Amino acid sequence: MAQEPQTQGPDIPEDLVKIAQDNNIPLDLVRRALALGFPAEAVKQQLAMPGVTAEAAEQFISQQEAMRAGGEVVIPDDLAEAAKKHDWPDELVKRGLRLGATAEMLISQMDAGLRPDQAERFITQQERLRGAAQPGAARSAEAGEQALDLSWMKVPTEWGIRVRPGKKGLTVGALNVGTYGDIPDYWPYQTEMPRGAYPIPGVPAMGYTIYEKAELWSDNAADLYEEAIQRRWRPATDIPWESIEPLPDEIERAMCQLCTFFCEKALLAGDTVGKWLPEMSYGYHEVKLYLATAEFDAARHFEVFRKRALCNGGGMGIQSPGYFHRAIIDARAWTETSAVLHILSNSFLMGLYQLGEYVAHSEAESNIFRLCIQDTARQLAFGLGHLKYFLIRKHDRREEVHTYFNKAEAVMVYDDENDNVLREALIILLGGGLIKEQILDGYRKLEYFKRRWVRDYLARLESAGLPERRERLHYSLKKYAEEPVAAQAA
Amino acid sequence: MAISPDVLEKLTTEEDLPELDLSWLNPQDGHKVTATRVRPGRRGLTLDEVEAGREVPEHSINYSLRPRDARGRDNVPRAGMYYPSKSDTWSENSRLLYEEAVQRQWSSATDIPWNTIEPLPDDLERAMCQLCTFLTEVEFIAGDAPGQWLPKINPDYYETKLFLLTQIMDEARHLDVFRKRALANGGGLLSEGQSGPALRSILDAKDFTEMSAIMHVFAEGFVQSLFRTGEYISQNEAEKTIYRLCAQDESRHLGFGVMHLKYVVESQPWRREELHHYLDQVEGPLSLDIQFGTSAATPFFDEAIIILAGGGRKNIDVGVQRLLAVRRRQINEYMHRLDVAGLPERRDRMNVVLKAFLDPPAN
Repeated sequence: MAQEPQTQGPDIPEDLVKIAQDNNIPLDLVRRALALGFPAEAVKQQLAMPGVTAEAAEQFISQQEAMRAGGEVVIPDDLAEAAKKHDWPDELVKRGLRLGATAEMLISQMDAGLRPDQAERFITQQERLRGAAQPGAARSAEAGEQALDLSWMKVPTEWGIRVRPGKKGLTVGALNVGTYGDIPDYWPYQTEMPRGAYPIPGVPAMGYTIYEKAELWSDNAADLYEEAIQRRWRPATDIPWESIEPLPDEIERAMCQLCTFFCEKALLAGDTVGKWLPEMSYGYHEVKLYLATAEFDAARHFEVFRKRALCNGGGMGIQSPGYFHRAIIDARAWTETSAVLHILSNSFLMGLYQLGEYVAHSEAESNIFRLCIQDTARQLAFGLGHLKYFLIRKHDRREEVHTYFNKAEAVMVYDDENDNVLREALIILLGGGLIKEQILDGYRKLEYFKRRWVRDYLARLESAGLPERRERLHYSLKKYAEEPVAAQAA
Repeated sequence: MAISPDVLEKLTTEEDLPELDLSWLNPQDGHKVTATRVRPGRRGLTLDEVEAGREVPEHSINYSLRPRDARGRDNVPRAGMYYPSKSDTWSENSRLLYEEAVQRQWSSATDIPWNTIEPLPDDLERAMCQLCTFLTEVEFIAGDAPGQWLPKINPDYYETKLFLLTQIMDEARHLDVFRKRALANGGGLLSEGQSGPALRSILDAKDFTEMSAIMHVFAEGFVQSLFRTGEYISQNEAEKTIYRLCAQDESRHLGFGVMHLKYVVESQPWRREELHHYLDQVEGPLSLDIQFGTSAATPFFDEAIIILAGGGRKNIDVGVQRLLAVRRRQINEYMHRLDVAGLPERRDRMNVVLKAFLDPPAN
């Protein structure tokens, strides 16, 4: 087809010229449609519809031109009948036709259940936007702006913030400047509005339950978040799996038993923190961000220990007694959850990871435990940071915190006493086998590791501002607690 | 080296040793050890490799945190009430998506070329900051929602749990990167968005499949289509990188949702009408937003896109047309995903307002 010259009227975009030519629609008709204010995108869509002919387009454009020139809008009989049936006022139908809707389209929308009030709303908007979309002239640009609300451009939030990346890149903590750094003690909004934005009325509550900073905050959350991202690792490719060699059966089974235990702990951590995330209001996003990384840690830990258990001829071991899980699942306050999960349970896990690194039989195992120690250290730091913050601001709840530890320590001891399988697995790993001397050696070493983890647990609580826990420790754990002077000497 | 039953017998009866049981060592199963060693493949040691040949049960009565294939104990307290059927939460691609998520993590602090951001005209900066404020909101809802479902997913279907944990991480990064963008170029956060009712419908879901259909397939699908048109609304390399990386993450979330829906449609065909009901519900409120390409419930968002896509307040006409193009893409891609999930009839029952943007079906 010969190229039709572009003469009067608006310019036609090249892609629209092609579509018109492909559909045998004269360019003059297209130009008339654009002059009527139909957006090029809308014209393209219409032309691409099946069954569009030059005659039908001519008829439609002529009708539209007649309407714009002040001519009467005539409602076709079938449309009038449908409008009557669906209670659409004639004037509304005429406005739809003036906007370029076809009778078929309007009938289809009525039959599909579009109510007159909905239609009124959209037609009004379309009329405003049609004014906005007039191409070209300055008058149209002004009309366009008038068609928009733009009230969001003028809200009184702090403007002019320009945070630049530092040595560690552009970090979350660096964003806390000006009013964006004001982290209130109480967050008053029930919506998902981010801190520093401007609230609007009418937004439904999202159902959070934690609105007080002292109930969830830890001063190190933003830094721990960035650190977690920088120190991410990939079990599939960052562990030298090929370094794992066949092990004696009892060692392989013992290692698999330990891995099974870690898998359960990872599932527990993932479920528990996941449950609490929707409870935390948005004013304290740093905490939510950090906990998201802790969730990712949990996934990675489950993955790496399952892979270790299944990759070397062993398999999953026996589940744990499960009583201690309930001490964490049953917690009804975030501070209780964090104290028991992040401090008590993770102190124990940290001790086991250290034990695991000590007994590692390959570079792969060594790396796994080392990387898990790194991740768990962050979780401990968060938990301790939160407990410290909480204790400073909630003097009257100190005894409550001890109640949580009393319960959790007791259940943990009960679990431990009932978990002969894990205990024996640790003895075998520490002793290096099933010879009597090895068993005795393993037993002695396990006692050492228990002393070590209890000592570390107490030292951590002391750093969080709870030194008197040493006196109130569960009696079964007390025998492992060294006196402070002896510990310092050691 | 096999374990000798005699050695175990001796150890458990020695008087000068701590009390030992050792029955868990199963000396009778010694031959099984070394028979199933798995070596890493081209992509490292993946879940697919270690799970090869292992069955995932169709149903599970595990109410503890016992990992799949681990031996149970008597008298273990229940840890929660989990979905008992594989169909309730399963997606065939979850292992693959999980591994991909772990490999493709990125850092908003160091992987975005923040130094490419130059001062923008005030209208463009404000529009970008409004969009970022909106995205910061929606991304964290998408992090909170999977969290509330984790304790309901059976440990026997741990793959779904792992995938959702990566999604929580992804959404945190998205919240974080859009907040950073809003505060990096002389702007700030602007108005709270108006999408609260739509976001609430995600949190209100009473069933995992309902949540997944609404959040993964519908809502994240729309966000993904927006990110994929990032070239319309990006003003610099940093913003392009942000949209590209976020789109990559969203693709996984969508992939999970589409394949979960497909699994449900195939394994629980009697739920087809129920699934349509969820989509009816969610298409309803949003469809009110997108009639004729403008918004009833979220004009702030649409106006920001119009200004960004048009290149400023003086090019509203171009912006409107590009917003329309984004809408069209969003709805056609949504329909395509439902086709893949096995719900092609959605084309006929899609909300009329959305349907207006649908292209004719490909033959």
